[in-house]
Amino acid sequence: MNLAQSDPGDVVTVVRVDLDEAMRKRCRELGLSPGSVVHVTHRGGFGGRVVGIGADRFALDAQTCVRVYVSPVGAA
Amino acid sequence: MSCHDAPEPVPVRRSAGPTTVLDEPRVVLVGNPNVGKSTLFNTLTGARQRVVNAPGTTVELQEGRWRADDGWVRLVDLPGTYSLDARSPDEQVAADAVREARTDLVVLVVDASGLARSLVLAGQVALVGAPTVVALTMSDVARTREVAVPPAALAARLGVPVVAVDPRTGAGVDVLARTVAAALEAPHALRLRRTPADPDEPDDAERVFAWVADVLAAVQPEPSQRGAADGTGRPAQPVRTWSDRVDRVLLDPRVGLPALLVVMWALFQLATTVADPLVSGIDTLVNGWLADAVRDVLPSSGIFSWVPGLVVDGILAGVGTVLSFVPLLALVFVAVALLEDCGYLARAAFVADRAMRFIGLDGRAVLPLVVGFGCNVPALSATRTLPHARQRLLTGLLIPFTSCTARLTVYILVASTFFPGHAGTVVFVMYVASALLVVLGGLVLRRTLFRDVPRDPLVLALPAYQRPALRPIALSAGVRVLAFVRKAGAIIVATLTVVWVLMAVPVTGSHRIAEVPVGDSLYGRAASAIAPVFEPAGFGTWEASAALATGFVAKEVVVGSLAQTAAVAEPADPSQPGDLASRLRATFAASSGGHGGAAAAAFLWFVLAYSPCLATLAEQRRLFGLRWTLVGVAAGLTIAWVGAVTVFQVGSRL
Repeated sequence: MNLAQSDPGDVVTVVRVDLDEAMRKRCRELGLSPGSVVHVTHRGGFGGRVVGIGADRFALDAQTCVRVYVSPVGAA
Repeated sequence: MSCHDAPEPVPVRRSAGPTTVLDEPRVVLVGNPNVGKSTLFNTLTGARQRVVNAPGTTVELQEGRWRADDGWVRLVDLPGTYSLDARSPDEQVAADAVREARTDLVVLVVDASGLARSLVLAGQVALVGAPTVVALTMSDVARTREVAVPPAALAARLGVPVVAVDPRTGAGVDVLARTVAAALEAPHALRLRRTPADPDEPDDAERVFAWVADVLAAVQPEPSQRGAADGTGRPAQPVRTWSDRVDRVLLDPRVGLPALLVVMWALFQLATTVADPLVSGIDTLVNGWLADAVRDVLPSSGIFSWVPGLVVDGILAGVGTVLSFVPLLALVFVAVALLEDCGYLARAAFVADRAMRFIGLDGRAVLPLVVGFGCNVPALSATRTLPHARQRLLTGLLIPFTSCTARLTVYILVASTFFPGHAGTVVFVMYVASALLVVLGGLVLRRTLFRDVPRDPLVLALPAYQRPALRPIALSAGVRVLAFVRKAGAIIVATLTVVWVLMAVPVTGSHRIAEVPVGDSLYGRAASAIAPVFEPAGFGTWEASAALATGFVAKEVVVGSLAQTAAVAEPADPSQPGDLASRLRATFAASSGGHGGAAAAAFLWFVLAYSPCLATLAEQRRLFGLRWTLVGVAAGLTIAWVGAVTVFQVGSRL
């Protein structure tokens, strides 16, 4: 599943970030990289999501959300 | 550059007194966006600061002087950045400043509530090997989020001094001053210690990430505190803050958009209704009382009878114009800074992102564009909230197409004169046309001159809501208004003086200097020379050209200019044009071969699309440089002329 398919309240583990290399590095610098556990805190307009990474909150637009592949925490 | 074994930097110079600026050590403030860096800068420097451009760029920096213990230092507030691996011109300026040899010390502002993210930047500063002191901010937010960072533990791990500060209250800044003073004498650089996980990792980026995990594990031993950045994959317990609860409302699509519209409406009101009495007050003060007082003391007859005209109608009018923008700019600066400081601006950017992205703009561009419908000048200044220099420029080139209220008086006059039954509709159409110009302008610019601006995925940090720090905001607004008065003001006063001279010098008839009808002046002659250019648009008269040339200076005076050239009194209410209406109808009918309505519509289009006013151009030049200002003027005139000709040619055949 990707982040766009998640709901507020979900806790998910990032599996893959399907962005260009430079942007993938920036996401990693912000804490969004494979292995990261993120909390989906809000649903924004047009399919965007707000996620909690540690104590930080980041807003992602819908196009970015569909490129961030995640799995529910606890899933294999 | 990678510095496994960076040499210990040499001791730097310090000045003993407040006057030896060149010898003062250069200290730069580096940190992520929204960590209180600029608030710290304002708290440290107070009023001893100015706005400067980073060399060779349009990136604005604030530079000031700070008394660090017993010596003065030059403090530079760098653009906020997440990384020294820059993704925008602003981030590049920050990265370059850290690497520059003339930087004596880096004060790295570390966000205690987002330690992992701040440590990534710290790791990159460590690779550079610059002498560093860490200022630890947001400790209160970190405690709320149950991720407190003990400064001593962090200092032990980083190997550089760590000082907890609260930029809003000033708590800790005395200790920071002493620490910076000591570090300038005996500098320490951050070092990346080899980590057990990656003892021989050759890749700098991987070394930084490994080091961050190592430091986090030492400073915040509980995995739940570290969040996700520890890379362990273990679930952390979500902490729902009151910011989350507010965001549940403000980011909800059903509430977020109306809330943004209310904020935009309030900003618009601020730039118009609230600012109007202040602007009028300054106008009365300068062009009324002061002008009268100056006239009283200057000679009114004899060979110097033109002097009062030059001083009052030229120079003083220019000064009045500049000063009239002061309350407007101050209000908008403060309002936008409040929105930014309290954390709402990032939410506005998220809510507006989809619409702004459609025309290739950053979501944050929505506020400057809305302010532009009130007045273009503060709108340009408000672009400073955009974190990317090219995005600021792109937005700054589109702002002149937002129809400011000064243009409204022209619309009302022309619409009431030529389309008396449909004046309201005509004015509405002008605003729709303005919005379309912004949209189309954005689409075209993104596909031509701005192809280099990346369409980055939106990953936007939402800072916690907080109470804005009023004193630093007031200081910053004051410094920026002063920068406008100094730099843009000189251009405005000089140009208005030149316009006065052109209007005062007679070229035909037997008139004395400064007592010449416009038609007989150098200005009138120039307008006559330009007039044929507008013949294809149906208003190729010297009167229309003179009014448009005056409108280049300020749209407020177009109605007055039309009245002056028609030799009638300026109507107090442009919707009741009286004698001016019949004169205008006659002039436009004559110049358009009987298609006065089509010529009037073409004239309206021209007024909408060409350069709004001198102050806007002066501010564009200050922010973006002369070249881009000229590009904007040329584009505006081209769009205005081509559109006006099209409107007239089509309209006259209907």
